[in-house]
Amino acid sequence: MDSDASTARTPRWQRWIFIAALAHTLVLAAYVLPEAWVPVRARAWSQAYARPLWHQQWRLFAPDPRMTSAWVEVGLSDSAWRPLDAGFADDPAMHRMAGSIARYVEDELDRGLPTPSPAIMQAMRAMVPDIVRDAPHVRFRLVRDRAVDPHHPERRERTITYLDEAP
Amino acid sequence: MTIPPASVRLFRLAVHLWLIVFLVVRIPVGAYLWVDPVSPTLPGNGFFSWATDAFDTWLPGEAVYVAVPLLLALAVRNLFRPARWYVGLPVWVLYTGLMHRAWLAGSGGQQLMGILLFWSIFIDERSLGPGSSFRHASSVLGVWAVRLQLLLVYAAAAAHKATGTAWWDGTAVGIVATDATYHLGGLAHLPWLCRAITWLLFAFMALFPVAVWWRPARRIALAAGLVFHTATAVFLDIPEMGTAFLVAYALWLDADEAAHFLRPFAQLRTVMK
Repeated sequence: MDSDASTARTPRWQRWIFIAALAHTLVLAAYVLPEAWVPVRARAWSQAYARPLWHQQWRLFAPDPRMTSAWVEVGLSDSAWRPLDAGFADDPAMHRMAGSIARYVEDELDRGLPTPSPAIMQAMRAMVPDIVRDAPHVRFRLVRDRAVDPHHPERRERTITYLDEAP
Repeated sequence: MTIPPASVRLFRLAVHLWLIVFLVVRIPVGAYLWVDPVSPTLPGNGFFSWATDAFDTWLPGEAVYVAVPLLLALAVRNLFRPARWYVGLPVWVLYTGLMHRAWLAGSGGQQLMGILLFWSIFIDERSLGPGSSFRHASSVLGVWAVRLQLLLVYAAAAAHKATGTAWWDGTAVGIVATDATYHLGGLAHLPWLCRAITWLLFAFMALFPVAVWWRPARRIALAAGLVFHTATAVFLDIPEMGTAFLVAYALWLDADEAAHFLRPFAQLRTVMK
């Protein structure tokens, strides 16, 4: 950084503080960099150090953006369907919450689970209390638009998976 | 290497403005986020659960009715009053507790702000004058931890993108633009622009951690970041993410640059007096 008459110059002994901050950042780097880039032991130590107070991950759209656009819909009494966050207009927080639920559902189904985990099912129900209140058995489905060619991502194939709760 | 007190002042101001706006825009859906949370309870955080998951350990869930107004009040206080560690600590604890309670609505921007608030506990711009007090040392530590944290974020984001293929062949932004989750429909019809933006973003993230160490390059990097994060705030439905990054930029500004951004606030304060 540049010198300036109005700024305070860091004394020499405080370079050790910079080194401490740098060491902290290097341990965090072992926590957040791609797993293949970090030795296993360094990764383990970094997890113990970083997770409690400085948990973070920076993988938005990485290594590649998801090829599927997914959302969960809830069944209405008249056999119509509506997105989980339809009742919240354009609230970004609820929109993101619905998006996170859809990604969890997608990942769980892709891992071979027959239905979403009970915690995620409960979250889906909590998103639509108005419907849950009136109907004891609420139906959900996952809608996926999958881009088949990354060079033409506008061409997408739709699949719908019905999410029945395990008996 | 120096730490301009003006940039620290701007940082503290920006952190707490961000926090106030973040809380106010979430209050209408606070019932779903915090009171009767949609997000499943997180598995605990060991010894530090008291700090990072206050609402599921030593604070009852109903405490959010007090916590949100209290957090707002403390953030407003921090806009006008000097930094105190015993004010910064509860701000971080309450913010982190609320963030974890609504983790399904979380984002990298919220995580980053949690880290900025943690280091804010250590930072006091009044201690940055000549001297070698403990408070001075802790402020220097906090400032450098935040500065380096910002560089780490860009480096990690670039590193993860480098391990894929879409950022190299230029298809990444096109895939995102055609995703119905985001509001980038218009961009999807311009594949050449999608490719150009993909490579520009990739280069920006990879070069930012290097560029900030020289003044001319730093100005270009910060200006590019301003454009990029403003665009993500507007178009990607994660406004708090882009703005959290811009908050952290404050500590990379020179004294004159920070003073320039502080001027409107100084005028506002004069008017209020």
